Amino acid sequence: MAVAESLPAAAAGAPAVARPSIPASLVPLRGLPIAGAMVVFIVASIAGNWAWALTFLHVAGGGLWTGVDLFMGFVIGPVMRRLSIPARIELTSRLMPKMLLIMPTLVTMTLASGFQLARNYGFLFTDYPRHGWVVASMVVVAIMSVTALGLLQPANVAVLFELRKPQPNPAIIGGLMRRYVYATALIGAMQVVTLIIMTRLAS
Amino acid sequence: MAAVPAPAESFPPVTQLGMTSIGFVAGGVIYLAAHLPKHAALGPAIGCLAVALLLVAASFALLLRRAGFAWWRFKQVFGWLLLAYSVVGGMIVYAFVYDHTHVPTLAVMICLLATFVVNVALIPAYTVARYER
Repeated sequence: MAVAESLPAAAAGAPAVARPSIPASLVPLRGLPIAGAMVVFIVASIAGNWAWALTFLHVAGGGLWTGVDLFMGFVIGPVMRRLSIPARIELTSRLMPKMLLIMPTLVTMTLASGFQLARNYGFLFTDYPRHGWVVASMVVVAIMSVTALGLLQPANVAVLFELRKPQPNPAIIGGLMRRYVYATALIGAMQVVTLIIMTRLAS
Repeated sequence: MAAVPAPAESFPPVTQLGMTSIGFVAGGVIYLAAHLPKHAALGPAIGCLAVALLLVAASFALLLRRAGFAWWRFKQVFGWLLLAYSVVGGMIVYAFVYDHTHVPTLAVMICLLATFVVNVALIPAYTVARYER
């Protein structure tokens, strides 16, 4: 990646970048009640076995999760690579706190409701004719989880901590963001595989 | 400009170990879930759990051996993420209890989930702490 290669030089020679004002908290506090309400909604939907709510959570959560991953990996990523380092830090500092709240909420919505729907419809049972596709979807989710939790989220959190330092290091931020965007692109590609599996199950 | 941190090769491979550990946890959970509603033999899942735990222990052992590691920052991030993901893990356990999962299977699932939660807190905490200066 051309920009990533230029970052160490920038780190060695460029002056410290100007950064936007730092909020007191790492995640946007105004979003916490929304995320909390979604968690309560998920628990209530599972407890009540509300078919519509479970379907809504799974379809809406899955659609948004897929869309955000594809957008981040294949639109924001290439755009960010062409930005100047101060512009990249400006974008990162405003985008990443929101992503730290949005993505775990969407993932929890999708997976928790999806598991319950699969159980209710009997998709999990070994005698279900397309059980192989269900297991395949679990494997794809496992690959996405390992990528998201091992690469994407740590990069997200580490960027936020780096941005809060008196003099953020552009080389560290650039390296972590490169990891973040690559991981998002990989997850986006796996999301396409999930879409194929889910449409196979539904048709 | 702040000093660039020590090169990557001087840090233990905690991220790789953690990702492998999560992979084993996922393998154990998929194995158990793929056999529902039948009671699968627990041996393979327990094997996955043992390997996953071993990798977590190896990560902590490697970190303990590293001089100058920012433990204060590690504990700060680890604690908050452990709290956040305990909620997620608790929700999954709730779903399994709600579904009347067979008790021995549930016990292995809970151990797998606990290992998962520790890993999910460990990797970002390590990533943040390694860049602390």
